[in-house]
Amino acid sequence: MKDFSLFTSKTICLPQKDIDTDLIIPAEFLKTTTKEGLGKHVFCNLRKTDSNFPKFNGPRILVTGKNFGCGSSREHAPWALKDANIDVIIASEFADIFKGNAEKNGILPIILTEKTVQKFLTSGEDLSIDLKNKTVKDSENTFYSFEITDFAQKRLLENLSDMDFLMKFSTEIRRFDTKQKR
Amino acid sequence: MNKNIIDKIWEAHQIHCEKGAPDVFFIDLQFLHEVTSPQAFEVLRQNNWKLFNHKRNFATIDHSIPTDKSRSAWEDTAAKFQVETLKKNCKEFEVTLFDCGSGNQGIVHVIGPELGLTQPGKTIVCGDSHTSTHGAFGALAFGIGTTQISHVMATQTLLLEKPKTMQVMFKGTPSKYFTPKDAILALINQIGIQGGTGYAIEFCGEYIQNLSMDGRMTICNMSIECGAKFGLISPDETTFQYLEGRQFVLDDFEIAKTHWKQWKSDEKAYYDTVVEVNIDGTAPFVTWGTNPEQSVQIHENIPSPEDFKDPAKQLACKKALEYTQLKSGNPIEGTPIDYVFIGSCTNSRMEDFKAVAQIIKGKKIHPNITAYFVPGSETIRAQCVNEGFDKIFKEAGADFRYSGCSMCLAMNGDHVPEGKRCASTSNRNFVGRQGTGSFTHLMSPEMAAICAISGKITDPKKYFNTPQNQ
Repeated sequence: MKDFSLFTSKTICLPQKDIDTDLIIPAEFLKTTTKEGLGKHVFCNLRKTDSNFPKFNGPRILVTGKNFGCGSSREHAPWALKDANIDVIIASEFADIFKGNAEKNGILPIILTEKTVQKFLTSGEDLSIDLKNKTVKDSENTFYSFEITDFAQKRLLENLSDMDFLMKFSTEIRRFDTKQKR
Repeated sequence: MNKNIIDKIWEAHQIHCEKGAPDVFFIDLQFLHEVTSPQAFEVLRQNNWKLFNHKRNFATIDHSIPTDKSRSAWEDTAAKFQVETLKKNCKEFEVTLFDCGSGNQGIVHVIGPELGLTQPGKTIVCGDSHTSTHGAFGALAFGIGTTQISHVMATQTLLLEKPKTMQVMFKGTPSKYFTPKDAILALINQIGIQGGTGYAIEFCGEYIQNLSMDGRMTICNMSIECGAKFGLISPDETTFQYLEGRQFVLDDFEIAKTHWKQWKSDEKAYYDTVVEVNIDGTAPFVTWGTNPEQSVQIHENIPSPEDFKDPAKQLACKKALEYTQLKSGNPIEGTPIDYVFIGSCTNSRMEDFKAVAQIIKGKKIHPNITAYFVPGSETIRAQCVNEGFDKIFKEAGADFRYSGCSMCLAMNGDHVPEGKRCASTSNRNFVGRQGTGSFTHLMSPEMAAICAISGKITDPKKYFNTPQNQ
């Protein structure tokens, strides 16, 4: 698990909006029964048709157009991005299922205004992420605050799973299950 | 405050709420399939967790299974291994599997309702974004990722934030050939593919109340195509009649019905947002682009980027037309088609095939067209055979196949080749969705059947006004 508290990284910029999970990882790669090794196929169809498509060879931050991760619920999409070294994705809006899946795999989705995202997409500058203080810093030392619930922040900083929380309620859950109709 | 059905189901499934944390939320039923479950079963094994309640989990095989007659004669070893893994996992964890040849296999969102597992007031999850289909019965059903599947397996709960609520009200009387598929495409066109993000939708209005369960499922199915994880309809007599006598309706029917009747929105219930969709006089829709929002009514022309105010939509239009190789200003009608796919969790039910059979009967599939008709389940296939539809399709020259997801996402070998154009009853027209370099036009089963005969995108009204087609 990489440290989320503070880091600076180059960015990968994909300005297109509405990037769907079929584009992130096409269905042909869903025949796997493990989570590993999907990084080399990330965006493979876009890569095929665009020789200038950015390489996922180190940068930890992806900046992209709004509604990123729409479509299929495949968790293979965040698995592929994580395997391709991505820890943070910045956009003005994320699709619900993708956002939840990303957070559960140690990826931090950061929502900033469309204007700020467009600035980062245009400049391609390095960015610094500070999850403890909930800020993004650009190359001119301007800070941009982002929102994240205390719960989600703690989960990422301490590498917790929802299971750590759910397990505490096993007695209540068992009682509920017994009285609940099937 | 008067409550809507979403609030009611939510509150009835909260096990624990505390400030600053998501709710511990009970899941009544989980559906599993071969593609998104293997890693979740593996998590159970790695952590030495048990399956919390195997009677609340049901599995089937749909995404990667071949839809030809032989079924098991696979050349794809990865897909075969995936299916074998599901079988092994179901055996080990004592999960009921509706396997091929059992008579109950099919697309997970088709068989759940068919078996009577899907019921009003239930919370239902599956590792598939079209799980909202089950919302047609007044269930709160939604797609989840594989990590969450493992949480449900181990605890029968999820940690969830309550979504905002949206009422979608369809108003007016549409034109004669307008179908439920067109109603949901109309909504997505109006609010955009991210218009429902963060919301659970309740579909309302006289138009919805008059629909059959098959039609309601088509509408709830595509909620995610406007970004909403949840989409549902308050249950009524149509819902109860559908469920009567189904295999997994275990209670006495009258007792069950009394229980189900509590799940409906109060009059003047509160919603965070209300959206009205005017479908008065509206014609059937067809998509021209690379997402389900990019659609027009059948008599309209393909738009140009300048037709959109939003610069992002202008760019999306430009890029989509470059991909789909269509020209702004041309009518969508008359666009030549190479493939017709009737199937998917959106439109592969009995009502769909009845409508298709009525159109195809006594006609021939156009010589340029490859037609795949893929029923949603073994039950539907058997019903089609019983009605003689298999003969009608065969005589016309269509390939009437065996149940599965098939050409909707093209991961089982059924695909549209590069550069070919498909009239499809499925739910997504994303770049490469039906095969690398393929083009998809989403539409109703009725319009797709007409395309199969004419070989091009055709207005049902004009088709049926021709004397030989009446």
